[in-house]
Amino acid sequence: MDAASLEGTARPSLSPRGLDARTFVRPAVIVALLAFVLFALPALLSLYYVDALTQVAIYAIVALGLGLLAGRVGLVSLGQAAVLALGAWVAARLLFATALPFPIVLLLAGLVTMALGTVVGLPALRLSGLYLALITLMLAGAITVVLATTNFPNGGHGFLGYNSNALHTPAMRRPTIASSDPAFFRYSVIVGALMFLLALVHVRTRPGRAWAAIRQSEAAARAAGINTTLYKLWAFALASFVTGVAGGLLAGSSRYLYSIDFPTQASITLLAVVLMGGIFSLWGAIVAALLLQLLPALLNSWGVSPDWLTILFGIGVLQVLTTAPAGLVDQVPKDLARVGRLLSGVARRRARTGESTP
Amino acid sequence: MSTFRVASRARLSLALTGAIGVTVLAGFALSGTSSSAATTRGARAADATSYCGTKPGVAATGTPINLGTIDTKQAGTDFSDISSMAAAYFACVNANGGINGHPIKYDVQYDQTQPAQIAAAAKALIQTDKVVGIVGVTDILECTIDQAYWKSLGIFEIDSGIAPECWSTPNSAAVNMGPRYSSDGAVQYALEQHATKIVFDQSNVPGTGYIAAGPAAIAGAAHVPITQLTENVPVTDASSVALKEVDDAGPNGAVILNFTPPDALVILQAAQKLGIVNRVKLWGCSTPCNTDFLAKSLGPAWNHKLFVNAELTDPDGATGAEFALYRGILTKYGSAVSGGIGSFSQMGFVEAKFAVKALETIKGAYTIKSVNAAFEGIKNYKSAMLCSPWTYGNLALHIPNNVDYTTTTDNGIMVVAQGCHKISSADPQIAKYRTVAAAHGL
Repeated sequence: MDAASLEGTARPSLSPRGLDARTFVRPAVIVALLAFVLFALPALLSLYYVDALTQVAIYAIVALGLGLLAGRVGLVSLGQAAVLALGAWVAARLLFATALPFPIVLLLAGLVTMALGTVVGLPALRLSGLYLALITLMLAGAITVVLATTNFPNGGHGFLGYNSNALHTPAMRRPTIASSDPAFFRYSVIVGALMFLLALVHVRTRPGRAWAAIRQSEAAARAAGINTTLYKLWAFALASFVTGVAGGLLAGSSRYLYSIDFPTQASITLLAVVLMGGIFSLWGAIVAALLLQLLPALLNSWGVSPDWLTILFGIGVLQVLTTAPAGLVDQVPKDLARVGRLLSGVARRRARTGESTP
Repeated sequence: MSTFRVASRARLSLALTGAIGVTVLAGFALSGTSSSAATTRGARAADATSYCGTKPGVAATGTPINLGTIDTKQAGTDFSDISSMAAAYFACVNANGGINGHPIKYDVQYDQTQPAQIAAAAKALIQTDKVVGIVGVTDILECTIDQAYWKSLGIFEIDSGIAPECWSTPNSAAVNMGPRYSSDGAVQYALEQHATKIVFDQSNVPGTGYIAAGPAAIAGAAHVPITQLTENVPVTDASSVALKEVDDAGPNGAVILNFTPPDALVILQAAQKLGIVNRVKLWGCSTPCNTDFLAKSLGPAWNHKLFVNAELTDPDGATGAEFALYRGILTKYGSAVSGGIGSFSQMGFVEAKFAVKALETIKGAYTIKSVNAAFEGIKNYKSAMLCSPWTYGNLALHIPNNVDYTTTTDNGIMVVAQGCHKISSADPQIAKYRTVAAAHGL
């Protein structure tokens, strides 16, 4: 793929230019899709898959944050799973310690994680590429060690809120309107849609243009008067905020949190699926979440070990980076179109052959 | 700089990062892969399998009785041997008359220690697979996550427990004792050998305080000081861990470990390398250390120096009809039991055996209500693999296995050092269980 076509895919999915038919059709399709997901899917699927899709909705937000950093600004972070764990920890602490409404807990989890994530982003002001990836990976490792020592809150007292003597670990509460699994799935999808909207607003306005300029050339962006420090930190803050909100949703979805659920290597797997999904499109985040959460659920239900996914994702990343840098979200429609053209060509040839045969 | 060069550089950077990531991931995956060896026995053992059902040689053809389980299965933590052995037992029963002519269909759900996945697996078993009973669960988190769900449905699971709720809730009963009560047993043995101080060291996993409370109570009742330590796992500096334990215990003290075999082994080998094995009165360990693999790895230098609490009868050299059946089922139906003879397959065998015996008492339809009433009604079921009869009962908590052995290392194998011994009621949970059970006439 050449640079020009790469740029084409890097453009936001919803073009602000022109009021052609696509301007109206695409939002209509999105609304219809959202309505199907919200109302039809929970009715059609078993609770096993409803729970799996709840995880898809949550991890789509996490993938969105990482996709923003890697695809829009060109900052490769290998610490996003640790940022998710931070968000989940904050939400868990608030859910046990306070009676705050769930949306407020989500907001606070997002804001606290945003503050911490921005601090994490400070090295990004001087580093990029492999060095930034390495620094964020080491940070994720450090957070894993700290979480293994402190554990997640389980209704205990003190700052950490962890009671190691507990004979019964209490479940974390969910919002009253979303106490059942299908209702929490809908709740997660709606929160996810809001996070995608927030990201879209950023991508289509001044920050998005600044990020695109930074990704192309930081020196050129500075020469054009763009405050690169501000916009890089802004990207980290936004990615951390949405990831923190996802952490809050994860607390409500799982109802129990353990440090073993956030191993350091989870950040690497996350980056792998985000690359496979496609980092230049917001849709790529949804594909990434499907790969990360729905695929293991499917394999488990088929009796196949999800450990195979480690190998599959490795091959997938290699394939995507060498032949389809814009990810599956870009490649699959093109491949389908190619197959369609091929089939229609075959059909036309057959029709012609049929006409010429007496 | 051209756009093309920027894109190329970005792709190269991503490719390198991806390659490093994949390499690191592969490393994680490979480091967690455990080797296993299938065990086979002779045809004579296989003959014993005709005794697992009521109609030898007659395959069950009735409507199936659906049972299910949830097991942790991931790189480095694989408990699937337990459900595989239960499945082998059920296959044997199905080939020999089934349960009053009904075969058992066994649905196994695996999880990778994700709470949401475990909750979903429980719902899949009930709603999709239509199971009427839960048998053979061995999962790091399952008892915690699902106990409220099982209670709401009136399901009484038979499991090999790991999480605290496996022993402290009304709807779970385990055939094993788990980390707390097994550690109790190891500390108890050390106290009986007149250790003047206990150092109890365990892996830093959720529930360390719950586990530590048992040994602390037992040492406290004997007025012996106890030092509690925790280590992040995998243990990366075993020498300093071993040195710290020995220094804290002193010459008449005992070091008690509660780790999985790989971590316990590196600590014990580090002690040997440092030449400090004999600087304490004795070394002890909870049940996970009761493997010939550990004894073989340690070698004769550790003969009768490491004492391990063992929840189940050592199968090496054990004879009798039940062990013949166990080996026969393993040979004929247990090809999926990768670890062969050992504690895991024993647990699966005992759980399946008790479940089958309970199912055979049911008159009428096999529903959630009837099956779980039968499970809850299990009273004084005997197994040659357990020290004492096993009872479920309508109790607020269940610790039905509270009598067990102590084994020790002897030229590469584990041998019995002390026969069946009651876990001390100095542990308040053991005392509570015995009081509750006695109040119910159990």
